[in-house]
Amino acid sequence: MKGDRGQALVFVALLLAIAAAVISGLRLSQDAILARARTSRAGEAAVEAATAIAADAYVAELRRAALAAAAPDVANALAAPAVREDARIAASDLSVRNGGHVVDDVTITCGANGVEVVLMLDRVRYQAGFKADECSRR
Amino acid sequence: MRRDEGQAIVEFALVLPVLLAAAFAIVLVAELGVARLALQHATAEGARAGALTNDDDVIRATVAAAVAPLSSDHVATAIEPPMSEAPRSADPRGSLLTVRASYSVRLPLGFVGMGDLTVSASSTRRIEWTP
Repeated sequence: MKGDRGQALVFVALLLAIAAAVISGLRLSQDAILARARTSRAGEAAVEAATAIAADAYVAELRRAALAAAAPDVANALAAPAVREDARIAASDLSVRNGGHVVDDVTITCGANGVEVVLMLDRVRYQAGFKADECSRR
Repeated sequence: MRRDEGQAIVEFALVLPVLLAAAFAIVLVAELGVARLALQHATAEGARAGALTNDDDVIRATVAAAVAPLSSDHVATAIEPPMSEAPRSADPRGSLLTVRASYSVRLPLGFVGMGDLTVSASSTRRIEWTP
């Protein structure tokens, strides 16, 4: 009889320990999932911003060429250090605003598939781009 | 024998509130996690829609559609800056748009005076839309 009396207390203690473990496990896994989702969204926002800068530079080059009645040199225009740096700054800004990290480098290439913008954030590659026939006509 | 049966009932009565509280706490933590994830997804989708359309109605509709499984009626959405203010009212391309959303999670012990827990999220995008 004496041994039976402590059963409820032991059961409550065990129950509380299990509940605490479940809650901390849930919180930890939720935080990990949220952090991953946030970084992914930050990367998307960053590469979109960098691509928008590349698109602006592309349109500016087409306008310049039209005014000068010359063939546009899109590859050269997009390779300009100022464009790359503007794209990196815009990408970094958007990444940080969305809970991600600073973007160290942005690659802008003008190839057969058009203009392609690539950046790395937390060892994940983010890529965006747009069609540009001028790139394949080089 | 009778004394033992009574003891079991008393022990069960003592354990039950703890069992219920633990179950409610686990459900609440899970609900908070779902709300956080849903809000983050919805604000990101809303901000992306805003970056492409510069339209507050489209942003609100996108957030409402993307916030599932939360009820969109209980999600408060704020857009900064609003469509009526500069730079969004003129040529906003290149400026930033932030969408914030919040949702109140009702606590199971609300009847004893515990308030709701508010979960919020925000996303920022660079506006790509041109007039």
